[in-house]
Amino acid sequence: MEEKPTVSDFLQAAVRRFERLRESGETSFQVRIAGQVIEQRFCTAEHAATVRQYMTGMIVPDTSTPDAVFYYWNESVNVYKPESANNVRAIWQSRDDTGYLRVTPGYAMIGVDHKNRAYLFCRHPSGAKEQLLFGHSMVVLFGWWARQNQMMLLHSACVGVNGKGVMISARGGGGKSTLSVSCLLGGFDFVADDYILVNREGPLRAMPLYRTVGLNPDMESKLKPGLPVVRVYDERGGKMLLDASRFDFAKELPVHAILCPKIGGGDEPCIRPTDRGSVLAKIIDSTASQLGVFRDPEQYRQMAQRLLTIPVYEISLCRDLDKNRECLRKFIEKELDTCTD
Amino acid sequence: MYRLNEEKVFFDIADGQAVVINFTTGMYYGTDALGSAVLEQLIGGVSETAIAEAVSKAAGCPSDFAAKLDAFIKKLVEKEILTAADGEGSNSAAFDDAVFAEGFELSVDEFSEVQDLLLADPVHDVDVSEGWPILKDEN
Repeated sequence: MEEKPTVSDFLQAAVRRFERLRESGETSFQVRIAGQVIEQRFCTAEHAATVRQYMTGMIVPDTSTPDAVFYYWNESVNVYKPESANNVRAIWQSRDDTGYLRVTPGYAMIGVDHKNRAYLFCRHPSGAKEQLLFGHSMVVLFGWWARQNQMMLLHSACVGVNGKGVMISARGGGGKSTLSVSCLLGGFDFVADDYILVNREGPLRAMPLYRTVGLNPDMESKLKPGLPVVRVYDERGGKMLLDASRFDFAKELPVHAILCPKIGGGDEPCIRPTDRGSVLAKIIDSTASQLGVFRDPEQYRQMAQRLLTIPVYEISLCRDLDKNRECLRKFIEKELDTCTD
Repeated sequence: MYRLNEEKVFFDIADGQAVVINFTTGMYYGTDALGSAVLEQLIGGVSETAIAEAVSKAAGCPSDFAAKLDAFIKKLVEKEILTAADGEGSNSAAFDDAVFAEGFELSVDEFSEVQDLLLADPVHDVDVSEGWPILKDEN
């Protein structure tokens, strides 16, 4: 009797296909994140160069034995769809001891090959609107990699003072990036402005995914001249990034509280305890959306359980960036409990 | 009156859309525009009667809206999103006209990809002679 193929068998066939499609030139590089070396492989040198800019500060000399390999490419996912699939809206998935495969028509094929520590993201060609509906490929694969390595990727910023960290979480336009970049420039311990890795067990600790920081036009205009700002054009459009690798990044910070910024408009900022439910719903919902795991109950439950015991505050921001930053500094230094277990 | 079941549920409003997550099961619930607005008012302590009165003044509101509202609330309680609370609740309900644009059905949907969307296992359940899981260009 013919032996049934495994998910790993299928994904290795996909990797062979990827290698045939891959162009020559600089299409890969390696990064060290949370103590592991990950090789990032792309079909095109252009794609590799874009992601490389995000990863400034995390890139390491190539080793022949990376802990994991990520594969990114663009191709119609119909190639990965069974002939018998006639429901174009269905998501197709397979799971066994060797890996996980998920094909979403119109979006992507995502594969996790446990056996070969390979993570695959094949994006279906789509319009700008569809690109924005789902997370970008790098974040999606790091999300899957984090799960396999007893971590979790969250859509949140994290800053700290004297080794005490806080997560800053809000939906787009809520002031998260502006406040966290202001903290970076103000000498705070800095983990990230957008995505953090956190451990799955024990006291919550946040680690950086990369050392570039997204800038909105408002922040860009306030930066001192001479800071290393680069413009990248990725799958989701153009973006200004501050190469923050020269700043003091924290390798990890214990998270003692979650802060939700709110544009207050008053003359003075203030920080006060707030409704946990709405803040955690924001983090979980936006993380799930960014990672492309929207409506996956198990991932929602795990994120919720991980964050449930962390105190939650609202920071009402005023127009003065320096006042906002110093209010947060004082809060972390003087008012935040040193223990959140 | 009713209150949010905070022992099991996170709730937020994003762009007028309710985000409801049962953090013990991970289940995500979605409501339509009017359902989101009604849920927000119920959580804010507004009485069922006040909501029914306010909505009934909107153009196109069906005559059986009170019954629809009652069924909607029963479903929210059944899903453990709301629990009954003491007190009469506030009589002050107000709705933006935009929430009536989708109609007056008051739907609440329970989303689970595992239950609703994942229809096949293409590696293990599909006949390999059809070309799967061998990639087409490998044949």
